[in-house]
Formats: sequence, C-alpha cells, structure tokens
Amino acid sequence: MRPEAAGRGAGKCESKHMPFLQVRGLIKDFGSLRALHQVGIELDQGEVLGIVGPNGSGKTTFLNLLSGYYRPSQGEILFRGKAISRMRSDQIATMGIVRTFQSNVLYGDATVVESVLRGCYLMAKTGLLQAFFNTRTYSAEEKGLAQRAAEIAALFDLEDVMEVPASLLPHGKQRALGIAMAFAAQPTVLLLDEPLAGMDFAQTQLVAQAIQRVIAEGMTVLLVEHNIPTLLSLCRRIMVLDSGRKIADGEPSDVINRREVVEAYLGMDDDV
Amino acid sequence: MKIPLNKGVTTGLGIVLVILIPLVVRDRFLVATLIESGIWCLFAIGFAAVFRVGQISMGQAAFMSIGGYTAGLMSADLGLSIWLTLPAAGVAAGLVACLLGLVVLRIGGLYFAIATLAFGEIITIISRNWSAVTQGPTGIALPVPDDISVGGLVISFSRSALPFYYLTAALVAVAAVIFWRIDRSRQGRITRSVAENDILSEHLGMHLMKYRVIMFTLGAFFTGVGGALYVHYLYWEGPPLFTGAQSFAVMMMCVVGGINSSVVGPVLGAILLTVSGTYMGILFEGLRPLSYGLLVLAVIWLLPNGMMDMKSLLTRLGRGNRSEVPLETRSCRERGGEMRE
Amino acid sequence: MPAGIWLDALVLSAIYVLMASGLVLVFSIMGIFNFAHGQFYMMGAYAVYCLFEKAGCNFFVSLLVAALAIGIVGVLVERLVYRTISQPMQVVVASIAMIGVFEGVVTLIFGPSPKSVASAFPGSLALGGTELSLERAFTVIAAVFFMAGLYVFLNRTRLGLFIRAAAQEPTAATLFGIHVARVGVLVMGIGCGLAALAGGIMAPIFYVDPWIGNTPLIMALLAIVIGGMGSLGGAVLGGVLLGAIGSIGAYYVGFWSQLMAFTVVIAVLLVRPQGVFGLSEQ
Repeated sequence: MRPEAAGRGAGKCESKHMPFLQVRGLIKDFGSLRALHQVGIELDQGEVLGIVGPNGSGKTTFLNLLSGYYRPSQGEILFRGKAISRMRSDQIATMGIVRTFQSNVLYGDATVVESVLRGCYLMAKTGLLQAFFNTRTYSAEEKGLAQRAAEIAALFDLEDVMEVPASLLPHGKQRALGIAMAFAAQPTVLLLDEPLAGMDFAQTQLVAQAIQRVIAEGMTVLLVEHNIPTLLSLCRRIMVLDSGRKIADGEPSDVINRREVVEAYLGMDDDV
Repeated sequence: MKIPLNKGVTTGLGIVLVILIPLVVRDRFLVATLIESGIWCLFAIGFAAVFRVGQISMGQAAFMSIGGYTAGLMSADLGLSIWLTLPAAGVAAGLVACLLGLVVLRIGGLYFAIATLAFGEIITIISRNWSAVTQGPTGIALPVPDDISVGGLVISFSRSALPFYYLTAALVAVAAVIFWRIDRSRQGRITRSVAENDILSEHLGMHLMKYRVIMFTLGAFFTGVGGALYVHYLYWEGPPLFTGAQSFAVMMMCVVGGINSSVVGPVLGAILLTVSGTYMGILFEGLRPLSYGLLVLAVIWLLPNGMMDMKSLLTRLGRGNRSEVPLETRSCRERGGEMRE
Repeated sequence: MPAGIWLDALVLSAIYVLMASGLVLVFSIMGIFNFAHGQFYMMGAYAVYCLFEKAGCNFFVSLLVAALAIGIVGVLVERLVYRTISQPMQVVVASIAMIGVFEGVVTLIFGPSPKSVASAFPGSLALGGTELSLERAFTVIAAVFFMAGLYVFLNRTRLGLFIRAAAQEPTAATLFGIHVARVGVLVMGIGCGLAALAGGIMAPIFYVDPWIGNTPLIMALLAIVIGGMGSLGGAVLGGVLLGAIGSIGAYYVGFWSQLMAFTVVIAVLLVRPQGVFGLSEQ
C-alpha cells in the first residue's frame, strides 16, 4: 500500500502515470559478491525516501548506482522514463540527480566559497566562448552565481569560513560543505549519503532545516541516514535494506515495527 | 615614493623590458638565447595547459615535431610563407592531439602519461624513418622567410635576428593572454575542478573528457606553433630536434617555474632553464643538462611550488605595510563579479 | 631467417629483461618510478670501460665491480635525493632531474664523444653453417645467469623472503621484524646493479656515450607496462617480447617493428592497463 507522496503531487500527466524515478530489479555484483539483489522501488516527484539498513546492506551501493558511479550488473533505472543506468555521472547530474558522498569528497585546496561556486556548475548557461570574451551575459551570470554561492553557504552556516580551504575545515563543516555543493547544483533529485554523520546537535538541526526547506520547494530526496529521529522527521516513506535486499518499504510506523527490520538491525529472534 | 608592485605594473614593466632589451643590449648571442627561451615558453605553456586539467603529458615533443615538420614541408616543398605555416603547424598539432586525446585521455593518470611518452617516441621513430616525407635523418632545410615591407621600412629576416625575436615575443604574448584569460574565467575554474577531484566534478555535472580534450588540444596547438617557429628560426627540421629529452625538458621547466600556474610559472621556468642551460653549455659540455637537473632538484627541495613561491614572497615585500585580508572575510556580496581563486 | 637474428633477439631480450627487472623491483618495492634507471645502465657501461678497457682488469671482475659500484651509487641517490622528498609525484620529477645530472656529470668527466670497448670474447663460433658471435653468446648466458641468480635469491634465501614480504605488505613485514628500510636499500642496490650489468655486458657490443641509457629506459618502461607494473615475471615477459619484436620484427619489417612495440603498449594501456600479470583495480 503506497503512501501519499509528501510535498507536491505526483507524475507529469494526469492520464498516464509515468513514474518519476523507477528502479527495477537492480542487481550489482562485485566479482562473486552480490551487493544488491533485485532491488526495486518507484518514487513520485517530491517524495522523500529514507533509506536505512545495517552497515554493508548496500545503501551506498544503491546511491552509487543511481548517480552513475557504478553500472548495474542487471536491472534498470528510469528517470522520467529515460533509462539512466548506463549514463555517465555528469549526464545524470545534468538530468537533475545530484548526490553527496559518505566520506568527505571535497576539493581539498579550494576555499569554501570557491567550492560552492564550483557546485553551481550546472546553473551556468553561458558557453565557454562567452566566458573567454567576458561578455555582458557571462559576467552578469557570474555575479548571479557568486550571489547564489554566498546564499547557500550562509544557509549552511559557513559564512565565517568562506576563505578557508576545505581541507582545513573541521569535520562537521566539511560535511556541511559537501551538502552545500550538492544544493548549489539545484537538483531535481537529491541523494544524500549519511549527511549528518559526525555532526553535533546544532549542525544537525541546521542541515535538517535546509533539507526541509528544499523538500518544501518540491525537491525529491533520497536520504541514507543512521540518525533515525531526524530521518523520521523528514521522511514519509522508508526503505529498509539488508544484505543487499529490500526487506521493507512503506510508512515509518509500519516499517519500524516489522519483524524483519528489527531482526536485521538487532539480530533478535521473533519472540521479542 | 613607493611604487606599488601590483600585477598591472609588473606586466607593463615586463612588456617594456621585452621590447627594449635586444635594442639596448646589442649582443647577438643574448638575442638568440632569448628567442630560444621564448620558443620554450610556448612549449612550457602548452605543457601547463594539460597539466592544469590534471594530466601529465610526457610526449609534448611529438607536437613540437608535428608542428615543425608541417612548417618545414609547407615552406620547403610548397613555398608557403611563414605566416601560413605557423597557424597550419598549430592546427596540425592540435588535430593530432585531439584525436589522440579522445582515445587516451579516457584512461587518464599514470597510464595516460605513459601513453603520451610512447606516442612521443612513435613520432620520433616516424620522423627518423619515413624518409619519403620527412627526409629521415637529413632533415628538411627551410628557406628564409620573405622580407616584409611596411611603409618605407623593410623588415628582413635574413639580416638580423630581431624580426624572429619580436615574432616570438608576440606569439608568447598571444599564448599568455589566451591561457591567462582561460584561467581567470569559468573555464579555468572548471579545469581546476577537474584536476583537483575528477569524480566530484563529474558528479557536479562536468563532462571530464570535454575539458581534458579541449586543454590538451589547445596546449598542443601552441606547442606546434612553437615547433614551427623553431624550425623556421633554425632553417632546419630533423629528428634530433624534438625527442624524449625535449618532452622531459618542458616538464622540468614547469616544475621549476611554478607547477600550479598556467602562464607565469611556465614562462619563468622556460626562461630560467634555457638561459642558464645555454650559458652553462658554453662553459663546458655537460653543464647544460647538469644545470637543468640541479635547478629542478633545488626547486623541489627549497621551493616546492616552483619559482612562483619566490614571486609571492617578492609581491608581499613589494606591498609593504598593507595587511593581508583577515580570515573572517568580507561577505561574498561585497565582491560580486568574478571570483578569484 | 638466419640464425644470427635469433641470437640478436636473445641478446636484446637479455638486456631488456635485466633492465625491466631492475626497474620493476625498485618500483614495486620502493614505490619509486626511477626514470634515471637508464643512466645506471650508461654508468655501468662507463664503469666497465674504465675497468676493462682502460685498466685492463678481467672482464668478469670488471662487470661485477661495476655492478656493485653503480648499485652503491643507486643507494646513495635513493638516500640523498629520493628519500628527502615528501611527495611521490615529486620523486618522479626528481628522477627525471637525475637523468640530466648523470648525463651532465658523465659528459664533464668523459666528454661527449663515444668510447669503444674492445670485445671481451673476440671471434665467433661456427655453428651449423652460420657464424655466431661469441660476445653476443656470452651476453645471453650472462643475463640468464644473473636472472637465475636473482630468482634464487628472491625465492630461496631469507633475505629474498624479506624483500618479497616487504613488497606485498610493508606494515605487516615490519611487525615481523623485517627492517623494511634496510630491505629498501638492498632492493635499490640490486635494481641499479642489474641496470649496470646490462650496460656493462653491452659495452663491448655497442659504443659507450652519455646517451646510451635512453633507449634501454624506454624499453624497460614498455616491458613493465606490458608485463604488469608490479610483476617480476611480467618484466621478463615484456623484455623477451620486446627483444623479439626489436630483432625478429626489425629483420622482417624494418623500422615498423619499433612502431609495433609502442603501439602494442598503447593498446595494452587501453585494453588492460594493469598489464598481463598485473592486478586489476576495482
């Protein structure tokens, strides 16, 4: 029984419902190790999906497949009806799917403001020649991008470290920067891989608020998180992975109490 | 009265110096050395172009060769003027680079470096053996470029080295402006992103191959032009001119001059190594390569980022009491416009 | 095809195998891509020139002393130059700089003109209708001998075991009491010594000048790319393959054989960049 989509409504056409994001029979093998087995899910635009599961259950592999970092061994991923499983990561990003990374993947030597500006790459429309000749459209666009970078940095409370190289930031701010860069790309679908890991309470609130804001604006979000309370506050739907299989998919209240889920996380038998 | 040593003033002074030196110092050997330095500036800028996008090309001599042979054949066999052969050489080299790049830039990193090394050797072998076209080891003799009449003035390439000097300087200036501008613009930001973290850049939407191939091709274009200029200047093109040693030399120039720079570093390194190498070589055979090696080692030990470290040191001295921008920065909005790195 | 070509193929293979083995040992165990490897070949040749041609020592003695001396030079370079540099990328650049340093020093001492070394084994052997040069035959035998020695050393001695352990897992090796740094010294010495041996063996066959190391370096590099950058067996395979292409290939198709070698390498890089025996990364 699929829950109502949070935020704005589903699909594009009223008559024929084309799934916004569709994953079918996804299998990923690494040699003889099967990391994902027949995972499938359908999302409407604007849905917020939480992805949970014990370590090693394939959550990051799932995101890696969605973002084009891995190619599936079998199965397919359809975004707005287009098969994206064989596309390059930059093509997928251009289509509107942007992700963050579980470890801090950053431009180590670039400053915070420069990093966020680099995140705005997809927002730039003027071409390389216009950039070279410094046309009026180009410089106007650059001003706009700089503005946007500043705003997004402020959103993540990075204003006081704008000129600090990313590698010198404390861990929490590094994570925030990674998320800020993904936000800067203004994605349609945002994949967050444990965004709150290693953050203190204040930072967690900040990032949660930022995520809430984009959800309210209609962004589709897939959120891998171990911080269950925050996850529950953001997501109306949860998918549970265990050892590469999807063992639950539904509203949080349904999913949390299911036996398989409890067993997967806690390894208890069904009498408890 | 304190003269601010900002970029504009230094560039202006540099330009004036470049124009005046050969007229003031009437030493033919110095002018010849400067011409050679200028050509190496072109080669070094070409190497830096692809290095800035994160790849190391160890076969730049191939493009020098392609440019040189294109110019040699066009002027010796077809009688075309230098004003045609120079751009043609650049186009030829750029075209080959584009095709090669589309194939090998995909693999990137160490394997790309080795592939370019192999490609450089391939071109050397072809130039040595494909006698039908390249005349093999004998090489191609180039004719003197025609005199140019401007108003009442006749610029003769045969009577003095000055026309070659100013031509070289002009070409270096063109290359410098182009790559400096690229570096400052969004394309520069993109190439730096791709160089610093290609996976992250790809996930932010940047098409890695596009930017790598563009920079590789542009770099090869100017390397080819430099090769053509060199053979016109020597009135000869042959296999020993552009070999693996030259590919390595151009790498070393960028390391010495400043590895994180598109223009200033390569130019500094090219001039320093060429001038010192030439003058050392006059003293004793063997001092030339020794001086190259020792300078590179000195830079690696003392100035890890190349001579540019020294430059920032000097600029800071030149600024005098003006304080550095504090870390609690002015907000982005105040600056607006183009972001500096 | 005349028998002499077979011998040439073996000679080339012998040299390339020695060079490639030295290069791959240093690379896989020390993590140093020593672009100056060819210069140790060149210096080995000059050492034999000094000892054998000039001082009249016995050829075998000259060869061994040359290998030892140049091996020590290699150790000094590693200690005084490579080890002092923190970033791996810069070590590679430093090794390129060392090419110039060695070339310059040798030119200063000996001058740029080529020197010749008299043949240690003059004459030829008549074998089944063809004349086989004794000198070249010796080259092959010597190379086989040294490679066999290397194999025995690495696989049958304790020190060799330490080296292999350090190559596979330096941290674990330290825990087992293997002094990894000292092992490194030995490896550098062996690697450069092998190059010097190759140069010394070839000295009577070709001339000796400051630039003879350039081609052997390139060939060694190609050999280990084909064979796999971490594999000694791969170095042997690559060396033999390139020796065959260089001689048999050259006999049939002239200079195209050289082109073949490089094109094979580029093909390997595109199709299986880790080489024949290399491990593929995920």
